[in-house]
Amino acid sequence: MSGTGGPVVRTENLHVELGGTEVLRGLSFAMEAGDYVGIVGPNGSGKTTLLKTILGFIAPVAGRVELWGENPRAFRDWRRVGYVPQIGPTSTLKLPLTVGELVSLGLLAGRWMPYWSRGGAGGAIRAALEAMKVSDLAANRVNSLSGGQQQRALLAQALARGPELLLMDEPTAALDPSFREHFYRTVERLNTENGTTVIMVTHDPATIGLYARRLLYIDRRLVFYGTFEEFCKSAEMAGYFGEFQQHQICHQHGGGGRGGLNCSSSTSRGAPCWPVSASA
Amino acid sequence: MSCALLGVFLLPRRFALMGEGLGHCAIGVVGLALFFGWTPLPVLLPALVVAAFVIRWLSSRAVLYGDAAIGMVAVTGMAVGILLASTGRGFNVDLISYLFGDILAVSRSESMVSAVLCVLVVGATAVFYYDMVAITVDEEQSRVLGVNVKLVDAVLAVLIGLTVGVGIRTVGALLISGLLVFPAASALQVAGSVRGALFVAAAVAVAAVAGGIWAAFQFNWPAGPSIVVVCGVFFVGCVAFGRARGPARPAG
Repeated sequence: MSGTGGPVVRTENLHVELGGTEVLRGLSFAMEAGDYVGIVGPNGSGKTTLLKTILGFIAPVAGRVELWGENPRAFRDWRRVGYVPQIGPTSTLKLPLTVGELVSLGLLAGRWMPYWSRGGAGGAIRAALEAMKVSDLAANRVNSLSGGQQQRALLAQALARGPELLLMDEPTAALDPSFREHFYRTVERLNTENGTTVIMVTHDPATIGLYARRLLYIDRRLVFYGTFEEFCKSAEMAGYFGEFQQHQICHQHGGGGRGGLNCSSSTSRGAPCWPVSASA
Repeated sequence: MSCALLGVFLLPRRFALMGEGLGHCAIGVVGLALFFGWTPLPVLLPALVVAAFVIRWLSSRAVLYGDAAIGMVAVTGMAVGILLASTGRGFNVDLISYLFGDILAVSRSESMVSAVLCVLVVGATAVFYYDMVAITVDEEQSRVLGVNVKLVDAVLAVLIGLTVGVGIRTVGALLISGLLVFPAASALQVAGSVRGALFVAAAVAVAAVAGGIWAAFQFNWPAGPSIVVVCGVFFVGCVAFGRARGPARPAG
């Protein structure tokens, strides 16, 4: 899956400032097609800024960022990209936008003569509404929904696009636990079956470890980038985080619990079942 | 009226006073045209399109909020108009008719122009419907949906400039923003979807213009102000209806 046509996202010595303050320093990494990367880091570590730089909202002060080898600020082929922003105060939205209309924007905005392609769009929109379980809310106004419902609507909008690259900024923050699980499984299926490249900013490293293949840990600079296995075996990371936190991310703490459970139930995903070699 | 459709996209972005600004600006342009003895309309339309771009440009520089940009362009235009009018032969009767509008002074060719313009606005709204909605919801995000924000904004600016220019003949420079704001604000009170809001806004505008003109003939009122007053009545009605039907949500 990977290796065809170079990396999807690549940065080289990326420096980003916001209002004169350095937010990201010297970031270099590459994400290949079909990757599933969790971006993790403490508050204010620059996760959202990194995402926005990849999307071209923010221009770096030094270094390079590339989307399929192109500068994202000059990039035009946005049809390949789905983006789910951090949910903000969308309830202040003044437009009587319905969930159905919001999701259809994902497919029909930015197209020349959207009406010609509408026949096919209807099915994709319905499927996306269905996948995020918001079909019954389709006629409701977005500004009347709860945070979690809004988040699901935004996710449906991104899914309807059928993107090659899916970027999400804390998509699970407002989701209830049972839906969160469903959401993770939906994204995993996109990744494994459709080969969608997934980049997810999350505050939930314990869960992302069950699904994502790679971990990008940043704290204004790059702390770690690699597979979860490498992360969990890394003595350097154990030193950086302390073993307790490393184990939390790796699901090796306390024996059993969530980590053990998911380890036994996850046969095909191959993510969290590494040998427990830690001494704690 | 095409004003109404555009209003739906302008109000939520805090460009409600765009009409007010362009209207005042128009006074300057008309003053200029009359000063040099030109026919106002051919000068007015391109000048207002330019003014709409200037307002957009000023506010997109992030130096100014949309309303501040509008205010500046508005008073500058107005001041120039009054200066020219006073250096000319006193306060011109023609200029007054542009200030308050004079529906009986609308010529055959001018009604043709407004008919063409109306088709243009409806057509452009249809073509750019999803793009316009996306920009109104979230300008930044609409770019990664693939919307050409600059192009759509430019289209919007051209349409507003033209609409205000033509509308001024009917309701006058001082009252044109009434037609831009009231129908859209009324629609946002009651509509359950964006598509619905567009239809309601158009319906309110047409009804208000018809009602206003009827009242004008009936009571021998000036047409422009009666149209705006009828708009106001519709708005109050829509607010009441919106409140009665569901939980109140601020709009406009």
